[in-house]
Amino acid sequence: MDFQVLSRRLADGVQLAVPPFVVRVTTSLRGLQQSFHNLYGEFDLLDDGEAPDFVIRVSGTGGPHRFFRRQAMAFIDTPPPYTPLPERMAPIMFEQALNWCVATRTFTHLILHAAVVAKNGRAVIVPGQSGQGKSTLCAALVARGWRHISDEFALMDPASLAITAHPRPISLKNRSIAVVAAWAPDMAQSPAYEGTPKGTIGYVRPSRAAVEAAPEPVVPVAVVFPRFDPAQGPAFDPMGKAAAFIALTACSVNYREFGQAGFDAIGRLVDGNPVLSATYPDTQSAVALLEQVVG
Amino acid sequence: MTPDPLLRSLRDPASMATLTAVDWTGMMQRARPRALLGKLARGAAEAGVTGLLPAAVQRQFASVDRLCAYNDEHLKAEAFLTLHALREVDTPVLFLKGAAYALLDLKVARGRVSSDVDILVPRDRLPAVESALGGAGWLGVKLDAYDQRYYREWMHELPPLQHQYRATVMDVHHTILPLSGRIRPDAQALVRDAVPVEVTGRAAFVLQPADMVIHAALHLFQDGDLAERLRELVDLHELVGEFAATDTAFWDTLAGRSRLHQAGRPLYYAFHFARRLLGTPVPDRFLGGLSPRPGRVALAVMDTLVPAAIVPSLPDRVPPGAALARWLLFIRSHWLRMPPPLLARHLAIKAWDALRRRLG
Repeated sequence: MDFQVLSRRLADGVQLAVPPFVVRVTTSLRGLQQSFHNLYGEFDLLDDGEAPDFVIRVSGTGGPHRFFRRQAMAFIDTPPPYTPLPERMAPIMFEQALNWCVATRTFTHLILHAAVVAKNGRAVIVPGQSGQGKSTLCAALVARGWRHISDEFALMDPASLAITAHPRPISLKNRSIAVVAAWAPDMAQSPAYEGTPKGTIGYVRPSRAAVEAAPEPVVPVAVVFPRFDPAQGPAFDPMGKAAAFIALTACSVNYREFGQAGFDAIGRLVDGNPVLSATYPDTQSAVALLEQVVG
Repeated sequence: MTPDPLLRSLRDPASMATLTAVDWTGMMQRARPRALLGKLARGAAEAGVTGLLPAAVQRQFASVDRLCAYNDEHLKAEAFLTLHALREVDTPVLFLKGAAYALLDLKVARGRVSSDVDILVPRDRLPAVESALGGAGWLGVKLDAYDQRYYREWMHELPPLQHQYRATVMDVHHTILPLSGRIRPDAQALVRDAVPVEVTGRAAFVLQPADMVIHAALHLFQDGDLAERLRELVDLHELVGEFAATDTAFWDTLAGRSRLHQAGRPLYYAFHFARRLLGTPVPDRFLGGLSPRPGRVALAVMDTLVPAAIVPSLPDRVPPGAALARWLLFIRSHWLRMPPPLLARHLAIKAWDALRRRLG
């Protein structure tokens, strides 16, 4: 879409399809509009007749300090539990707000804090707190033709265990920005935002293929907890079922709200699929390990 | 019919099928922060229109349904754990508000997202109850000396407790209005006439239906600032709807209990506005028989302020009239809560605290 058109629509508020959700975004911040044009370029803008799941407005914070330090804040209907960031980091502010909406308001799916990638319809769940390498691995695999399901949340149906795709810009931190750039020079990345609370952050632009495939759910065939260690591996360690169960419940953001259904779902996920701890010294061997997992 | 889509959807859930995307965008943003999304979801389901709503609304309704179902289970589990913690204490334990609604499986419990636990015990059992709850992990939130005194001398409840591991918040009441206020409900009658309820094999109590309604009305119109608290009026609307349908003598009992608890004025306001905003079927005979009743001028003022204040606004677009109404009703709530000398002292101390915090 033409930037001038997008810019005007964003200033008025526009419904953006971010599968499986519809997000109404309003912003007059030029930097964020440009970032949208880049990172969400392959996503569909909907007409105003489509009701949104979430409404997010990103704007300057105003107040006297705007004259020496311009800040951006993402506003939703309740006061969000995060603080303003410098205006140049508005794209991070938006991603943070949308993550918060998805994680705290979605109870149609059991959500694991995990990346999900698939090859030939066979999906691997890669859980992990931020900084453990799940997004890096996700980007590296997507660059080799794997399907980009999600780099942050596995939205799992508690009955069938099928995962609904939620492709978003893949968030890379610090060293992994250069690692991914070297591994996949053709993959479109955003400018790097330096000095954020989590260090330097950059995003990979999702492909049209990932967005178009999103309505199609995938079935997990394995869970891989990633561990990057320059001095070890590559190696797989199968995890015990009890340890795997506990690790997976700990990385679910809404396990508690599902009660018995959540317990049963994680139990079936662990009983029916290998859960592995993967240690690898570099991207090359990590990708090779994952290729091996999906056979 | 009211033109506000939120009020109309609460009164007539089937009308949600005709809302536009613009209506939904505004209504969901107003309903969610004020815990009304669950009520809308339940209304749509009962009216059989959920399938006709926009896909995003259906997703959000399905999510909030799951959350409400969890909160219902959670409240029942917390009620059991509360009784377990108090098993050695010789006291009746009454569950109030959300916990009571859940334990009785009342219609009002469905679509409620609140997860705090409220109990009531006789005032002379408070020390034993507080200590037993503390032993089970319910600890007082940190308050300064003045706030501690404020609660313990003038309020109707202990300073809030929070469980150290589960983070559940509990209010322990000994009556249903601040001691410093002008209305004195009969706390002994609340306990004496309570209704037994079984909680997973343990005995507990809830307020009798009329007292439950009076508590909800007092909370909103005698002890509260009313700002954006439409949810509580909906609770009242649903409570009386269910009680009046199952007990033909309900309105007479309520009139009697209102005299006992001196609750005529707040009850009048509660039902006047429930009828006006939500269409609650209140018999004229009941409203006319309440005593004391608000005077003509007071009612005219409240008629102007309450609808503007109680209906939630869009978060970043609060009309000036609503802001003014909320400010005036906030002042009213303090006026009702404390006699003037105490209020002056309270405000002076709070202002001094705020000033000190600002100066760092």
